[in-house]
Amino acid sequence: MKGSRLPVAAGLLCVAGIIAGLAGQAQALGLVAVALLLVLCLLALSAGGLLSARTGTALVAFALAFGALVLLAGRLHRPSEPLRTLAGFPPGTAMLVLGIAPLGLTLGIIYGLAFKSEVLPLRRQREFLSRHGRN
Amino acid sequence: MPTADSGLIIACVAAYLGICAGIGVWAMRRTNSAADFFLAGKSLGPSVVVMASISSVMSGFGFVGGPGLVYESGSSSLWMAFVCSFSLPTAYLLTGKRLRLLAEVRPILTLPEAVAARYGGVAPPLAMSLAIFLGVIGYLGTQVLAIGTVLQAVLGIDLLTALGIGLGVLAFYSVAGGIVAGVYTDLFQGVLMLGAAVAVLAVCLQVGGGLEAISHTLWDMDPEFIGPWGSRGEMAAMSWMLLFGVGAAGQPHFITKLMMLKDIRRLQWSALATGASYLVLATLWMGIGLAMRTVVARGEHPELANPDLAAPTFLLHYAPELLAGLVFAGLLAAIMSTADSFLNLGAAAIVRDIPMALLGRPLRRELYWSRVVTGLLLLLSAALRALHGKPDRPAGNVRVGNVRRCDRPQRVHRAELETSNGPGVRRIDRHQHRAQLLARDGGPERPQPATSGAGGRRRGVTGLHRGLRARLAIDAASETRAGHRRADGRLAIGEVGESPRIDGPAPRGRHQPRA
Repeated sequence: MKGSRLPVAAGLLCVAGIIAGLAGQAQALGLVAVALLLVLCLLALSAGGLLSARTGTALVAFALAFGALVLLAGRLHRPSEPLRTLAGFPPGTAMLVLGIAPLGLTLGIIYGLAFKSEVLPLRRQREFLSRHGRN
Repeated sequence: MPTADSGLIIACVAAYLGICAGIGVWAMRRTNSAADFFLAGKSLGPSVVVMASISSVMSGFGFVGGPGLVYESGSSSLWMAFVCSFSLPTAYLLTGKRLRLLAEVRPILTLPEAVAARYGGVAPPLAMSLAIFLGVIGYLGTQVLAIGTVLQAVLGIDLLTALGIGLGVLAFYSVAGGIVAGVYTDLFQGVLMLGAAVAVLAVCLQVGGGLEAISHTLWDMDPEFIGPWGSRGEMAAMSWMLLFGVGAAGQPHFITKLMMLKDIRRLQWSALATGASYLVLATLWMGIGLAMRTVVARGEHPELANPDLAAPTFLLHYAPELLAGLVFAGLLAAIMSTADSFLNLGAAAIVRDIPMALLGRPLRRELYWSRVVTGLLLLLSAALRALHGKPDRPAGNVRVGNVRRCDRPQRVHRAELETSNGPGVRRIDRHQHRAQLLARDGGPERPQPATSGAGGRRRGVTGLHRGLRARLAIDAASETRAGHRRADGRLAIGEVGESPRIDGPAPRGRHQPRA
């Protein structure tokens, strides 16, 4: 964690979120929220220096897809036109219900796949026990 | 609150209360120490932890306030419901492993103790204990009242008796069985609600005539309502996404459950299971709100005086009795499980965390005092709620939503849509209609040029106050108007400001409400 720039990035994103909110830029706020989540996930996984390129790429891809869906939801929403539906929903709403909601489960899948190698490897358990254990 | 007059619904709720009491007796025998009382002896399997987690996160707000928000403002609140599919796994990522490992190597039973173990010193655990205690008192009061309100509706009794019954059962199993009773009632509730959520969604689609028909009706009513941001607009939707996306990892009643896992390796797929389970429950949130708004927009049901009535009204009028009974039991369980989790956290703060921070040791006879304090907290929160008065939401823990609601144009005016569905549905000048309606009812509101967007949000305190007063007038007016329809099925209030006419029975829609 020492020397990592991720906490700084998280702090900057929080400031950016406040600015976007005060400026009334809703989609910018949404993208900041997505970026903040990405940084928090990277922060959690990289704490022991075990974050692999594969997991990092998967997390970035998750965040990019998430951000794209947020933007797409706004672009596809055309209230002045007659309704066209996508799987029963207006296209913009479909991006939320059928895109963002199930996409969120990707994070659980990434966590499960990276669990043994990056979240809780044996070496890190020993380090943790030696640092925080009473004996 | 509508009242259930069905024996089956009452039987379901009574059976649920009986099962809770039974679990309390069983858990009491398994609770022999403070570790059992606060952390279930760190002996739970992953399925129990997952179900207990989603049950405590999905409180009465999720089952009552959530559908109410969708009924009132469309897709806006879906941004807080659906983001939980990744915010709950994020909580596992951020805190799950660390908390469980700390609980493994130290005699840690509570979050402030974990903070003390990680960061040391007196100030961090003390500050966290005080924060949890204050939060518990505030949150518990709302849950206490919600228990009374739901039981009042189901059993048709007065609020005081309902509170007595509900709090009696809650006090019994939380005092006797501690968190052991809490997590096993959560498990029961979680399984019940997962099944019920799927069934309720099917009923919602059936009542609305399918997703396509629901979307068309709501689009004709107001495209923003069913659009991706909902009626509250883009900024509210994104703010909720940020708040609930990041904030879920900080819910003490959720992350405490992660310390109860027997085997840390079982965390591996628990994150995915938690996110997926919550997503299934969130369909209930969306389905009921959209279906209820659809039948109101079509004129098949009177406008609701309070959006929070969306879920109980839908269940009582449109769902099969057994399903309604199960969901009502689940609703009560959701409120009680959250209340139980908070009682446990509050008792831990007083008996263990604050003395540990100040004296370096917990109170003597810890288990005894934990039970006493749990009971006292319940009484204190009920007393504070009684002094504070009745809130406007039975389970409303989203105060932002309450404030904003007062500042929004009211949806009740959609009730004057000319026909029940299809091409006859027309958009209306809601501001003009609102002004005329209020003028008729003696309301103080003048026409507002733009109530959505930044302009509408800048009205400040005066606007809020005006909105609140306007709402009261509108609720009264809508209740009067909504029940009167023409014999041909059209609402008799097709013209703005026209007096209601009582000249025909309610229309028979595709799904006539149950008598």
